[in-house]
Amino acid sequence: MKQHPDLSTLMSYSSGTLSLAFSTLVTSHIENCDHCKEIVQIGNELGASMMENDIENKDKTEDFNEFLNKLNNKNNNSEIKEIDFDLNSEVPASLQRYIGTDLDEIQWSFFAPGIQKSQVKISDKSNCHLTFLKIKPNKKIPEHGHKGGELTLVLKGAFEDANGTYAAGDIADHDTSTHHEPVVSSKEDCICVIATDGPMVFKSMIANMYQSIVRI
Amino acid sequence: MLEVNKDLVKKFQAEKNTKDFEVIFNYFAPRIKSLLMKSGADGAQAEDIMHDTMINIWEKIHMYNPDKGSFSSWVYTIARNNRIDLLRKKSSQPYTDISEVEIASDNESGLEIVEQKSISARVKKAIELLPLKQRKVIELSFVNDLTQEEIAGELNIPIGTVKSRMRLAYQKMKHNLKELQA
Ligand SMILES: [Zn+2]
Repeated sequence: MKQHPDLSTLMSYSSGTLSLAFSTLVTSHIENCDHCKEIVQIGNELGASMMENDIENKDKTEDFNEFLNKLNNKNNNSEIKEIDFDLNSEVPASLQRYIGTDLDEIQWSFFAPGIQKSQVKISDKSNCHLTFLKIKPNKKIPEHGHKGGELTLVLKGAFEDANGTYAAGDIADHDTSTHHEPVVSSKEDCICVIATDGPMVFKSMIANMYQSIVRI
Repeated sequence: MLEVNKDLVKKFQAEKNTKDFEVIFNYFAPRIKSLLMKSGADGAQAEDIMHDTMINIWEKIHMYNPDKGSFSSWVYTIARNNRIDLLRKKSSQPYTDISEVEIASDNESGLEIVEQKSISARVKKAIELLPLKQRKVIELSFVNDLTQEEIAGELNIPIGTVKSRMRLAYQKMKHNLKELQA
């Protein structure tokens, strides 16, 4: 793994303040990245230390017996769900609940010549979604504007921009100020998944094609 | 008050008895609740999330791996995930945590920081050594549960400055942890 999320993104991941879309992609990357795993673990130690030491009244107690009653009632009427991941899949474990374990099973729809897309809603309660793109070799990933940050995780193939090459598992972490013109550099199609803070607005080529701005 | 130390956690993992769990509860329950109140939860929500977290600890204790981090950091991530689920209501799906994924993959993360003794004491000291501005950003993020954008608004600084202070805080923390190891 060569391309990692920004350190500040990893710290926000540890503090639990990233959006669901962002944290899902960061988890997908970290699964196979010891470098980021260590950073996040230091973040978790930091969070734990603040939890332990920033307590105002150190002598305060909570009712253990009341809690035990709750625990016993729960044990009687619920089962623990164990999550099964397919760790040999090319789909990261954290994405499997949304798209299954096979990239070929994704339902693509036409987006532009050489580009297919699929949008997956990841929360019932908010308008939180991930956008999957499947792009032909040598094709430019359409330039798009967005408010706030954006993460792109490569699932298959590779693309490159001014910052280098991004292969499967790598994350491109861009904020508003970054200028990027990624081009697919692999011989096979590149499949990537994008999370943004706001809605993505594709410009230029798409705009010309449809004579309007296409929101995905 | 009895102490939550490595031996007690090990014994609790092996025997899973309520006596040891009571010690863990007495130490962590008030701390989890206090953290939640500072993130904006009301008393009832904080109590619920604290109870859920303690239930998770009881049910998932077999998943805790001391080679991957301190027991406190494991408790913290469970409390944090419950906070995400219940307080922010961003999702009806449970938050997938790396610890669950990691357990399944069973690979050693090889963290050098956890091999040392008394990680908690060193982390506490390392935080104290952070410059005030960096510490503030870290506090707003980890304790007050604010996003980078919210921190920028709260401190009236650009989001780029929030990001750079978080990066610097991490680098300084890591440096301090190394220094304190000696
Ligand atoms: Zn990484």
